[in-house]
Amino acid sequence: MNPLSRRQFLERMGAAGFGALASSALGAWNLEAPENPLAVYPDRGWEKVYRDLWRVDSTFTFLCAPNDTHNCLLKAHVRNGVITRIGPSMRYGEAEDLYGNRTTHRWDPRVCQKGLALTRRFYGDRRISGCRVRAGFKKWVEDGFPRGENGRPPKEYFNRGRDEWVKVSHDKAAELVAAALENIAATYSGEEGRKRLLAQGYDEATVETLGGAGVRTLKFRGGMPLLGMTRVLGFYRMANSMALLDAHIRKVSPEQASGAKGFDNYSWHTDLPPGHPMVTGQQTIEFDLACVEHAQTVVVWGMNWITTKMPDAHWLTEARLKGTKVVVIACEYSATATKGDQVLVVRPGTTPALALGLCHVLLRDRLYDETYVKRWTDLPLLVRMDTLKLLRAEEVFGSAPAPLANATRVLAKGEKEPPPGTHREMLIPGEMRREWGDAVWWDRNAGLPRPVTRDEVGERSSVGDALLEGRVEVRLKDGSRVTCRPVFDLVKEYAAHFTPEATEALTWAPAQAVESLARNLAAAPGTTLFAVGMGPNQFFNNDNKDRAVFLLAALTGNVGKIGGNVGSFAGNHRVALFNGAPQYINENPFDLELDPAKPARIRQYWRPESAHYYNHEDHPLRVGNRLLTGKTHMPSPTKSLWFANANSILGNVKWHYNTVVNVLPRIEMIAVNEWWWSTSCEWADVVFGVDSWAELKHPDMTASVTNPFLCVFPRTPLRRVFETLGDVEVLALVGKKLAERTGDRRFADVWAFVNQGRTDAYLQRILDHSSNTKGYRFSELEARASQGIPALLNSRTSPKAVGYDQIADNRPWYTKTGRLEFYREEDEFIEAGENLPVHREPVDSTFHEPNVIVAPPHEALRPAGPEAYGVAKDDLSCETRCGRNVVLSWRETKASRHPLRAKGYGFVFHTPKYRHGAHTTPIDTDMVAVLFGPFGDIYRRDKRNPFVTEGYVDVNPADARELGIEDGDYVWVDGDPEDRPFRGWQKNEKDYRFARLLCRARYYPGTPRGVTRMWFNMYGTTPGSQEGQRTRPDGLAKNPRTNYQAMFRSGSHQSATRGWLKPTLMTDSLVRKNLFGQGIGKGFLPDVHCPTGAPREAFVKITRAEKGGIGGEGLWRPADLGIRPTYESEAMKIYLAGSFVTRRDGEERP
Amino acid sequence: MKPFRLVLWMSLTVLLAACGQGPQTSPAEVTALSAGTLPLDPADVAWRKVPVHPARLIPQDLVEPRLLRPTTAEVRVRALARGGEMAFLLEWDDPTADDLPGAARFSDACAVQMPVQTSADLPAPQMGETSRAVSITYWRASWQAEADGRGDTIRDLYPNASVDHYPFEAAPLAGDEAARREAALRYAPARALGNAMEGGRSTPVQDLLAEGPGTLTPAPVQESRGKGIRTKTGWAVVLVRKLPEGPPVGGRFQAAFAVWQGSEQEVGSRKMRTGWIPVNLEKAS
Amino acid sequence: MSRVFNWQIGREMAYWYPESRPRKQFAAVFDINKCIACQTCTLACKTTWTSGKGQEYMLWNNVESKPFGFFPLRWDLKLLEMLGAQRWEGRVYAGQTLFEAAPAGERVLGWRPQDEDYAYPNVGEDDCAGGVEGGTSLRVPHLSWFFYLPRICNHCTYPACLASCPRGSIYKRPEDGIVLLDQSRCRGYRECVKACPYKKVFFNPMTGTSEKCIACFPKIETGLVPQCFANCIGKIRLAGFVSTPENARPENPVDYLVHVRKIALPLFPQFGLEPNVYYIPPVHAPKRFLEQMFGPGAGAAVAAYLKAPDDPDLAGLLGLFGSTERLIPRWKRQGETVFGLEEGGGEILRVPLREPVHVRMALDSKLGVARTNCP
Repeated sequence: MNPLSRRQFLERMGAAGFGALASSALGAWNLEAPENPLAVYPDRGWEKVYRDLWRVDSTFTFLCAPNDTHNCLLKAHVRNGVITRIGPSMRYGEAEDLYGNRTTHRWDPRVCQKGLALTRRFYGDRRISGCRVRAGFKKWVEDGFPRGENGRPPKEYFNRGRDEWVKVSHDKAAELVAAALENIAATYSGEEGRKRLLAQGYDEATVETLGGAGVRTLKFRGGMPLLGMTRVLGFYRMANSMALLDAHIRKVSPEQASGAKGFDNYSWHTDLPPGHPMVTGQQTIEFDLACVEHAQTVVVWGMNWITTKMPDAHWLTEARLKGTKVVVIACEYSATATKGDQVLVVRPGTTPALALGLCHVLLRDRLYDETYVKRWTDLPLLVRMDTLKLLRAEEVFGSAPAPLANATRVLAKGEKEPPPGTHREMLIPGEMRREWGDAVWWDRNAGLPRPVTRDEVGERSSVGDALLEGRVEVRLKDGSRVTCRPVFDLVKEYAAHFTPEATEALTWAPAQAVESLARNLAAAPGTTLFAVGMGPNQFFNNDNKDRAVFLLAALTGNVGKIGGNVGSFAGNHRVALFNGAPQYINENPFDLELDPAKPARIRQYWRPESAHYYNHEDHPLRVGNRLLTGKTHMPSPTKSLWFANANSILGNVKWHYNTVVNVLPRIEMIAVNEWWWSTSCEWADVVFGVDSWAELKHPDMTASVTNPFLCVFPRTPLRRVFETLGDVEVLALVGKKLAERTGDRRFADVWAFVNQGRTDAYLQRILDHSSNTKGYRFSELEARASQGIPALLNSRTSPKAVGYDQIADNRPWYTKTGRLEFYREEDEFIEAGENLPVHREPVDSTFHEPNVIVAPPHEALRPAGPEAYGVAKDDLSCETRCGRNVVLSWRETKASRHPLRAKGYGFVFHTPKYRHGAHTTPIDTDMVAVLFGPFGDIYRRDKRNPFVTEGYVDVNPADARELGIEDGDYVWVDGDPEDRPFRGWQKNEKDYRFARLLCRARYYPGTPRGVTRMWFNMYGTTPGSQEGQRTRPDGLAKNPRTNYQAMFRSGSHQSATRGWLKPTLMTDSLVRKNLFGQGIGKGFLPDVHCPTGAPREAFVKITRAEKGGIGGEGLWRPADLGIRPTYESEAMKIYLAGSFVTRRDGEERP
Repeated sequence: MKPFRLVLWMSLTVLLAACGQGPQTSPAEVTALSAGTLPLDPADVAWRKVPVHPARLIPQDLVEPRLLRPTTAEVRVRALARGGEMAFLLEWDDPTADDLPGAARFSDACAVQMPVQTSADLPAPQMGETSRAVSITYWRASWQAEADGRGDTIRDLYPNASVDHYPFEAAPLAGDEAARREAALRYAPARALGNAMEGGRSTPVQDLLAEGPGTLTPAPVQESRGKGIRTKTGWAVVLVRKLPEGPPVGGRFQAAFAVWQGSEQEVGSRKMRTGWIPVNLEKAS
Repeated sequence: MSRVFNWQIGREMAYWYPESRPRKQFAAVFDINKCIACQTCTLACKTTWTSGKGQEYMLWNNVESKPFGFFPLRWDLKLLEMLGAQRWEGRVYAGQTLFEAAPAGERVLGWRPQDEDYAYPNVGEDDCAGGVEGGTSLRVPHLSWFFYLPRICNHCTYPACLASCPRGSIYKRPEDGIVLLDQSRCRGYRECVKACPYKKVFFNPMTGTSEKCIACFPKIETGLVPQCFANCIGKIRLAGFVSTPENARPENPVDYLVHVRKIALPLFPQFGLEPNVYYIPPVHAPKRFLEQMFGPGAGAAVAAYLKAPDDPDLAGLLGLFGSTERLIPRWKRQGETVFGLEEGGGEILRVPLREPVHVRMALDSKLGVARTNCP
């Protein structure tokens, strides 16, 4: 039988009912292999599936604004009502201001991997639907708030972290919260309340601050309020409206009523560089990162720019293409180090010393910018050696303080400051002006003292041939004589202690590099940007650091210029970018303006407070017989805590495990607004489910300290599918409930525009009253924002550069002398031995004696040592350590040892931020997490993995080997046993089990020996996550009751940290600009002058726990494969050497 | 061993124990007994009296990519016939059961190949040749596992996997099954194109046509049936399929067999195979 | 096997199919010096194309830290080891390509990663060679070093995946040179997974087919750049079409960087696939390692890059990267401004070499408000 022809074959097939094949086979290819697919492919119809996957139904814009300062308008792509993917708006290049200035498309794209992964947060299983109330708390409220003798609620109602949750409506949750607010405020009001608090053991000083007003035990916090001028800042408006509650409870008049307390933010996050106000008199000097385009050198100092400022990283790499030299100073070979023309690896926490070492070279060889020093700094001013105070013109010449005219107005007695947005010059209260007087410098030509007023700065400076070095006898008006030395001379003498050799020994920076860097900086004054990061700032000596860095910058003429400035980069903070904010926060709740067209009438009833006291076991700093927390700073007891837009105040609080074990039991209500179940929710009583950024139905706005944009959160068309409300709606609902309880409808009217769907009216008020936004219509800004186009702030310059106004217009700084001040004459500073910009060793993260002032004997350093406080000189316990003023020379310091070293503790343990997470949004979504570090595995082949990735500590391989730890092993990391992970862990196994840090160890060749690192931040262990890991078949560290997903098997990066209070950050005397506007004040100011803690400090012991191989068997696979540092296979060694190829040609090798 | 596999295995051992010593062999060719019904279950007693043909397997080493190292030595074939259909029982030794798909995990498999059209001179045993098509009935262990109840989720492949989100399972689609299915297909292109090589299958076998290497194509009509179970030493698989078009030549049909061991990374042309083997259709005695 | 010409190795070589170049060849330039490993590209691709079941582990685009980063584990190390030490004679490759080194029974020298090799996709992140014991000071080139290597499918002129597929289910599109894997025809043999030296074909265990980067052809077809380019905030990526050396056009930005300036180099040219993603090598890494990875031109490319400050064309063009979602077929510089142009010369966008500084009046007398940097 003959073989069938193709035709016959097909016919038969057809006959056999293979019609389908017959027809498709007419194309006759599908039984043939393509001839040459490199050239031609027969049927490409299938390609349609990918075109279909690409297709979407619609798009809309929303704003992504975690606390990372970038504020990205993102485009959401929607299909079937689901956001399938997200992308950049690509329209930042179209931003304009009121004057037609415009950006370019080099600003596009603005987005990041976390933003793209938001779909997984919008729809993931930790999304909060409706509200959750802790069963015990609900019962406590419904049982009528039972309390014991001293007012404490019975323990059985407060099984936080382990209790069951009840789902309730927003209405019900608001009812419970309103009832609790009223009950708690009432309980702690009046004499009865006072007695109860004292009976509960609160520090008397804190109880006295209540003045009988129980509402002051209610703490509110809108996390990073700049990130939501109505949504987040609304919590302070709420705190202000608590004055209505006080009036209701205590039956007092509006004049006598008190508002609640509001926690700080920028300082709470240790983002505030506390030395900036000490030198410049205002919050922070910073510059938009695009300024780097205009600098000749940028010193990236303890800042991992390319990982924490990702959308603005290109400015750095592109500036480099145009010749900007990039100098990276870090305590490791960091990601940003790879972009450095020069890289310095130094010891953590030694920034003040390094800066002083650089200054020493400049001073020793007279390389400093003398003009800048004389015009802009206090260095020429004379200090009395008897009192250590600045010499006053009044003392010498008897003249009264000079009248001030340089962009300055002295307020008449009793004159009230006008609204901040209207300020055109600096406003100084009369009594402060008199207090300051004028300073004196020594004229070398005339051999005479000369007065200098604070008007006389910059080109207006009268300081001529001033004595900078040496001492003079000055004859005072009263005939007496006093020895004086210029600040310059005192500083130079002190800095001389930090020779390049000493600096190398102390900071590990090679002496040669210190010499050459100093010379390079001096070679081109005013052309260097110092981009100082969060690294150095999270050490206890952060104000020392700022003062020393500014000294270096001033000596090289680098403050206040577009291409020559200091910046501190951490968090997004300057609410004053909208300095009309008081229109919203502080509207008088007793006298509300309900006409959106009219401005609000202002009265501030609420009081700010540093959250560091709550973090510090709810008490101020007492060392021996001394109370080292200033009056203006004094906190009140914390009985209720309600916050939004932040996990940092509880879930990621410093010393977290001490807070949840020892502090929380004394707090009676914790309420959280969230859209994603965070660690804070785990420990809360009430969780309000709120809109994500993609679902906002009430618009909002924000701006940034690192870019020039004003960004609106536009209302979005996305349907709410998770039973959520907006944050402001939640506030309004609780207001409504309070109105119902008290019969005072003003509680509800506080939120009138929210209820009318006119939240934009509040925003318009803010715009109208803010210096840099007046002239904008909110409706227009929102319309453009929904097209993906932001606006530009109408600040003095774009890019912004704080200090530009001073330098360009020869205006005084916000200090007593109008100059950059390096000498601090206030008693608190003299007592602390910090009247000069000194170097203190870190308070915990040092191999030497902690917190000592490294100094030679110096005429001007006369600190009050421990004995003066009635404390033993060798008492190094953590609490007294905070207020310990001990001076040791570097040689003595070098010989000293951290007290724990004798007990096997030997590693500095620091916790920097990284590319995979933003401060307030930890990494717990799969696709971002799986790329976070070396242990990611979406399929979790090792069931021990708490998640698809997990926390790990980076250890120098040589150190790890000595400890018998293999790459990828699990290890225990223990901080100071005195009080970490929490005070009393020795007698509390139940809590210790989840609080002690267990994590992977990675061999990390980029970190120096003795220095270990764990990235900040992954969600930490809770009792629920550990229960999940024990009981779930998949072994996930996921709370079976809440779905909370931890990235640790036990503990977290906060297991080794602690709350620390620094006396120089708690003074009542520091002069500084107020938060909003140009007015000057002194003492405590939230986010400007208050404690910042030292969250990056810990000195730890590391011990091996388990093997790294799957299930605890053998080596972690990558190490086993020979591709890990120190485990290199032969092939890997060849690979590293680049020897898999050779070249035979004339081309020479360098 | 997966539970469902274990159950089958036990039922088979019980049965083998019952039926005493094995059947006689048919060394030269496959002897197909005709039967009233064609059992789909390899454990069916009906197979006991059917002679076994031990077919020697050789590596596919003619076309790239080739299998150079022999693995499975032989496949033991039995056949039963009824009308236009024939049931083959293939048994072979394979120490490892590979039925779990994974990035680098291959499935055990076997196949029976017959010419589409009977003829005196046979098409090339290597997948036929142009205009002389062969029809292949292919069984895969991973398909069997799904038919036996393994689910169609990533956790059925990686039990501890943790995935936060699939766009086609997002909350807004809740309640709209049609939309969900449609969306799910978009994110599984091959399935959307009806090329379900894994997952969403109702049967462990597939009918294929070929006219030479590289031309293998699913047949327009999928009609064969099959079932495989794990035995003590390897696999036992029944494949029930159509006979070729046209009369048997010399009373015999021709069939070729192939076996893949997943653990040996055998897939596609990397396989152990036979040449054409006569299948003698015998009257039932 | 046929004989084909591969300009990247300066000679003819063996390939499974006869030479056939597409009318246009999709190509990319990645400036490693600007890469920040933010993984935005990775997520842009992931959320767009591989969010389905069985695709969880797939990264059509990934970014790894070299030298200790590998996805999958050992991908390049293992193949270099199999290939053994090879040699360049000047700009001509004197060693064996993967096609020439193919063992008996195979079309390509390759290896198939194990399932576990796809775990730890960011192993080696920020791990440096050399290492740091204590304090140190480094200058270019760094003695301790690592760099980021962003990777997608190279849409090779001579794809190993295409050559290896026994079913011919992988093809190159004549109109743009994009290499696609036919999802309706693939039977999941994974010969392509084994053959691709870059390990950019992935098996989907839940569809049973292999899948790969499609260069976002639905976007390319409408004149837009792929997702991993549009979302690149490091602004390191330029998408376009590359000519063969003899047809290079300086006004084509890709040609300019690849052929005219020779600053952008192929990844492992010695493998012989003529890959079409071109990398500007990192200036801080050791020359020998760069030559192993990018070929003999690495040293010259680094030298040219370091001179960019005196080279406004180079600095300008690199500053144009990533500023628009549209493909830029042509470019030019006029003084301080760089233009992206359509093929016909129409302007797509213009950007300045340096972002301008806008200074506003300290007092807006019209609105009666002070404008300040310290509000």
